[in-house]
Amino acid sequence: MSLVIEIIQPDGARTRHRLNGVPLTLGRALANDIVVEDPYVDATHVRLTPEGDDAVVVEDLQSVNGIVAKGERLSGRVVVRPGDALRVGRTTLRFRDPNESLLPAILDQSLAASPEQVAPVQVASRLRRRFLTEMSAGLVLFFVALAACASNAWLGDFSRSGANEAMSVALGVAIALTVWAGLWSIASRAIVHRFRFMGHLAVASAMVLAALGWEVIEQWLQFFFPHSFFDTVPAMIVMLAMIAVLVAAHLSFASTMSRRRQWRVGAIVSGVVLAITGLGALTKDDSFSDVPKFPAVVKPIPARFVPTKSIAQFEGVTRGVKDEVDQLAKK
Amino acid sequence: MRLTYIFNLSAVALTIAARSVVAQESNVATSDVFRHYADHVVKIQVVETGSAAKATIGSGFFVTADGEIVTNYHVVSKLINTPDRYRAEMIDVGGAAHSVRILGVDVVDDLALLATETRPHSFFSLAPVKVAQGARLYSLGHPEDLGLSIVEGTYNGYLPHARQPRLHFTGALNPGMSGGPTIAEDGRVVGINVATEGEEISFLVPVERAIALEQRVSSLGTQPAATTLAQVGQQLRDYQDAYLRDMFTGNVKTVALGPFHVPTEPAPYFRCWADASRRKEVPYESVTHRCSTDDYVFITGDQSSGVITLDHELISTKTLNATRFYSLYTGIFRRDNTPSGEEEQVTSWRCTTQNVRNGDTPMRAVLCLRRYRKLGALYDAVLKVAVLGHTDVGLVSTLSLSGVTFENVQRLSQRYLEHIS
Repeated sequence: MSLVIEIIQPDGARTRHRLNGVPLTLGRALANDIVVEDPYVDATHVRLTPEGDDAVVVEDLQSVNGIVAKGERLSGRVVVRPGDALRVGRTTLRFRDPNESLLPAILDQSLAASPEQVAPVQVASRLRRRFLTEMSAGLVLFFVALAACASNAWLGDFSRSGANEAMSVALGVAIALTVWAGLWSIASRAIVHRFRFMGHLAVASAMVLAALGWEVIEQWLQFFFPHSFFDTVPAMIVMLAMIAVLVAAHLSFASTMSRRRQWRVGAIVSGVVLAITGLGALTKDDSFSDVPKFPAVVKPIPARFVPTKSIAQFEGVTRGVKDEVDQLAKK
Repeated sequence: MRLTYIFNLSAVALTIAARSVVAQESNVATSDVFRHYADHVVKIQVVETGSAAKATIGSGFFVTADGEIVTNYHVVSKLINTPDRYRAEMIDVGGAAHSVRILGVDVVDDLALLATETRPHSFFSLAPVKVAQGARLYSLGHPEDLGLSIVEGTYNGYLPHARQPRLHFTGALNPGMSGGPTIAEDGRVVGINVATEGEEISFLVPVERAIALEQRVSSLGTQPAATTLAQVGQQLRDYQDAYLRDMFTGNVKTVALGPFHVPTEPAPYFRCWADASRRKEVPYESVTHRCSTDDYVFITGDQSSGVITLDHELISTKTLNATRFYSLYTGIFRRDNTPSGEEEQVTSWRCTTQNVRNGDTPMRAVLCLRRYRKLGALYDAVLKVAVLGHTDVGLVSTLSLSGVTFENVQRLSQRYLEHIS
């Protein structure tokens, strides 16, 4: 690997030269290896000597204006690496890694509209396939999520206006999903130059469905196993997993990160949520409340299928509650 | 029914009660009664030491030549519960303040015996008394801190249903008169002013309870002030033991609510009420059945004890499907009907939940418990039950116990569950 020097002249003109292991000189004189049109640059201003694969020694050849790095005038020799920039006269020298990662090319919509003119048939079908997959998945998941939210609201509402409530909930969820997917689309446009709205909508809708599904499972777990391990640990794990999946899935549309990195970011966001929730739980647990909290959920299943304990067994576990309040009274 | 204690000024509404008691024949004018006995009665006030301002006021009266005063426990409860923040003083008929100390209390009967250094010119000598219903009585005290007043009324006997004896006095007692005496026209003390329900329905502690307190204090001697709160805790424990001994024993009365049977009127001192609601705007019907004791024991302004309630609510539907009906059922089961509380007095609630079975009847049972912080091993407990296994009818039943030991919580909740089917 050898570095590339990018020369940005005062008028904005850019030229690039690969530094191929041989010392080069840079200046205004035509005898230099790299010639710059800048009256503030000496005839032979600096010598560039590559050092190894990823560094260049820039040597000031007793120029009038010297070398400026980060606003500070330097003299003698300066070692630079990919990403560094210097100024000679009013010209900027940027040193770049020739293998640095680049954003994918922007899709040319005019070519996509008439692919047969430019590209072979497989390009058109690939585009159509991606577009259709994202479009159909987004729409299907969006409407399924709305239907699920509406039916969940209807089943959870026992007033005569249950249908109206369900419609309001569906409308609210539709707006929330659209705004959420819209915000991610704007981020996508800024980062990868594509909106990918339907993709983001599909991700958000799938997550709403997953959350609803978990709510149903959680209620049944609370019904069958009240005050148990199922009350807290699985709920926390599922929530963190859903956040990680949500973030990673959105990033797959909105970034050029590797899949591994997308998951890592998802895990970090989950970790932050876990830390905040943990802190909240620590501070909240000690606060006084005169309202009892208990898993009140009841489910309509036939009497013979309800798993039960005897009254004596129930009285046995109440001693644990007594010990808890006795401890509280000592604080 | 909720009684209002009549000791402080927080009830701002100044009731100038129109006298409606029909004048009865009497040989003695009210003004004579007032003139004879006014100097027996004093004002008691509890002062916040930081600001030196009055926190509560009430009344009291001399019962011995040594200056012992009878008043209500609730008049001086702030001092008993938080002795480092309050002090108590007595204001005599001339307006002079004298410090007082507590000799003994009877929290259940809401009485306190105080000592002062002053020697009264005259005092009421307490003795058992029999009064005929309808007899004219005179109540003395300091209503709303407006100065010593006299209120005429009539005696209407002992309250039925009350486990702790209380006299029904038809006369307008007002805040500030608590702890004052209600006397017959010959000066015999009949009772001690304690509470009112408004509309001239007022309550007195019978004089016999004050005599019992006097005797107990004289036999035990004066206890150190630091032990007063422990005495209150012990009195509450003794009270609830006696009170709850017979609950749900023998043939427990049950009542049918829809397809269910639930306990009712667990002891004669309970009063039960029922009602039904069938409103067109809601797709379900509900029937409620509630039993409660009337005797509640005042501990502090934000804590009372001794009340036991049974609350049954039957809900049924003809229009909701099973899932929607159970959403409703869950909502009703979750509804909080526990007594409120202050952190200074009680801990937070802690609950345990299990699906239990009584015979063929599966139920979801929740027991919530909190402990009193200052009064030793006493608890408030709420047992909530939802009967399972039906798709269009359900029953939420709640047993609330306040100020009871854990052994009684376990015993009563077990018996309660055994009588739901």
